[in-house]
Amino acid sequence: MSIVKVDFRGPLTRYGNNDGSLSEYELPADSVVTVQDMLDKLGVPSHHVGLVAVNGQKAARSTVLKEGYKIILFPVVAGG
Amino acid sequence: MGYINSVLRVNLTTGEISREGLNRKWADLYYGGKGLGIKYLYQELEPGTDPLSDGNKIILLTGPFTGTIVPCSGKLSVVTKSPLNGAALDCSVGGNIAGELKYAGYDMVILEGKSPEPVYLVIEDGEASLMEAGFLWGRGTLDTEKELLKLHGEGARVLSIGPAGENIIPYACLTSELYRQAGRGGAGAVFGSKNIKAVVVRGTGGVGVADMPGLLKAAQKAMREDLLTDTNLWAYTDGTPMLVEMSQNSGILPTRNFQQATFEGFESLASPSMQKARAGKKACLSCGLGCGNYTVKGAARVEGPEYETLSIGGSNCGIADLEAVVKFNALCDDLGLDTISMGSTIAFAMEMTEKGIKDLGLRFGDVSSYLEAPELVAFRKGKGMELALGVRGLSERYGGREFAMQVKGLEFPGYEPRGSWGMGLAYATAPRGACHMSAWPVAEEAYGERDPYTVEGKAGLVADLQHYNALKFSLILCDFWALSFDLMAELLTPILGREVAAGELELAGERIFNLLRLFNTREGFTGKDDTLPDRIFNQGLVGGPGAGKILPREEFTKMLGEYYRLRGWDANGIPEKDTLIRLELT
Ligand code: SF4
Repeated sequence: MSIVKVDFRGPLTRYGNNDGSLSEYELPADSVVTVQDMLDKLGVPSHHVGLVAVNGQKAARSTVLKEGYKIILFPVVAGG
Repeated sequence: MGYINSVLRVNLTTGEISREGLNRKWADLYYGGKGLGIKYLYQELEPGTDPLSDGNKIILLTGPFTGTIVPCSGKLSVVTKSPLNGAALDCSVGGNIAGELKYAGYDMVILEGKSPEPVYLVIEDGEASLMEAGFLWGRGTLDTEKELLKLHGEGARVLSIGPAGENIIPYACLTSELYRQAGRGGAGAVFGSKNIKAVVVRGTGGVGVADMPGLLKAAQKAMREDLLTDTNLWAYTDGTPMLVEMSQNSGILPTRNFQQATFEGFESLASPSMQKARAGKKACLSCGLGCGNYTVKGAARVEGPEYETLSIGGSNCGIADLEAVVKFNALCDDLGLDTISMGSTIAFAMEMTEKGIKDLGLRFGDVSSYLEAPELVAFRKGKGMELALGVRGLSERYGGREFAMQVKGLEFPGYEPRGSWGMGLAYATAPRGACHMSAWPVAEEAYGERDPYTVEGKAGLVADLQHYNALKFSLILCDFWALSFDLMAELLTPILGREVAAGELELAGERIFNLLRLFNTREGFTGKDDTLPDRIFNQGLVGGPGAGKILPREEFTKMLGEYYRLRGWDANGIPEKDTLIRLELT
């Protein structure tokens, strides 16, 4: 079973476990899964997601996920 | 409606205090806050005025939203000529003092001249007077504020300077409600040069609006459908500390004086660590977001630290110790120092030592010398005399200009331009120098899906963002609310009682930005000042996702040229006649 870990920040924590902590997401065995596929599957609205980090680096929505990857989803931000 | 139509003018030299009408023609074109302040300053200041002379003025402004139920409208604008670089300076401070000023019966206050003795200004429901402030001189902002509240009642609001302002440190700030600052560009030093320690405001009046049911409806809708949605709520859940991890992951977290853009110790400064140390929340007047975090870490406590302090006072100084950064923040707030310029100056001094240029006793990662620095600076003691020069001043005295991280004398805030090329253009062209409040393209480039390592499309992006912020800070809305021009117009219409169009607001943003440019041009700034330190053009980033990246000088020059053309400015960065006519600036 291929598992990736997903962490949520800001208001997106509501899409994680109840306490907002790390969730695990199981990659389907027989298909290629991108960041975008995972967002769709988890029901996280794409327009509320800003930066996506995979293994500590910014990634694209098209980044393909592999076993053991650690993903952090950040909300869209403004200001500074 | 929306305005009180009343301006308080205080001549500190003579002690004369007068009330005059608001210039309505200017208010129609510039609204309030930043825009209206720069219009008054442009008209009233003699070109070439020494910022620390009695000829300079300090203008405190509200906007048409201030004191109403419009969310996130609680900030006060401060406009003056910067002692750090002689450019137009506007900054803002949160809390409640702006609303209080309007409730006391004024849209704005103009402080001019120079008092022969330390004084503070008290405004109480229309009445204003200058009071002797000798007993406050030398005291920190926390103490000053507490003392003034004892004298004038807990309901009063205070804006004050600390010892840094009194001792005219060019990056001294103003503080309100203990922990909120008008931070950048040295407004505190202008207060100090005029011998004014504080402004105390108490008001019990109200603000009239043209169509109250209309405003209630518009404000409620804005709250429900826009403000309190997932687009903005990060400000409440985390606030700016969330940006530490985002900057780390996207390779723009300033580290060791911008030698690197990732920091091995970032986790101790990131939002999850901050949340563990959180002791409470705070909001400005009328704000539904409440981004303020009270933090207690070990023996240190502060409201903050915000991202800028965590990055510039943390990773950029090689400091991974949250308690130390909280302490640094609290010290700077109390002494009245801008944490960004102070942190940047310490980081520059640390690299000067590393490079063998000059040893001021500061080392990357060394907490004790880092925590000693703010007090030495604020009181101009020992090496504080040198650090008070800021990054540009130090580099002019000792060398190291290629890694002096400043533009037009203002030190860099917390975003690495080699990892966000549009941010490089924003720093180079911001009226007050390297500033993140003029435009913040990092949200789209480094944190978003736009390629950060290209100049394509960035000139237009930066210009648009500059107009957006110029207008937003003139209506005075908080930068953390990502609302559209349309929504701003919907909120302004019932206040003013006339149909406001989004296009009118967008054009006003461009007008305000151009007026700032005219001010700086009159002061002798040219296109040559729109540049970045050599490090950004020549030295590849060390490590992280942007390893090896520079912002190539020819690409930067191309982007800047395109930006001037788009703006209708000539090759020297001076607005063309047609542009001025189009923007009603002639
Ligand atoms: S989001 Fe923060 S800074 Fe902005 S108005 Fe609210 S509390 Fe003040």
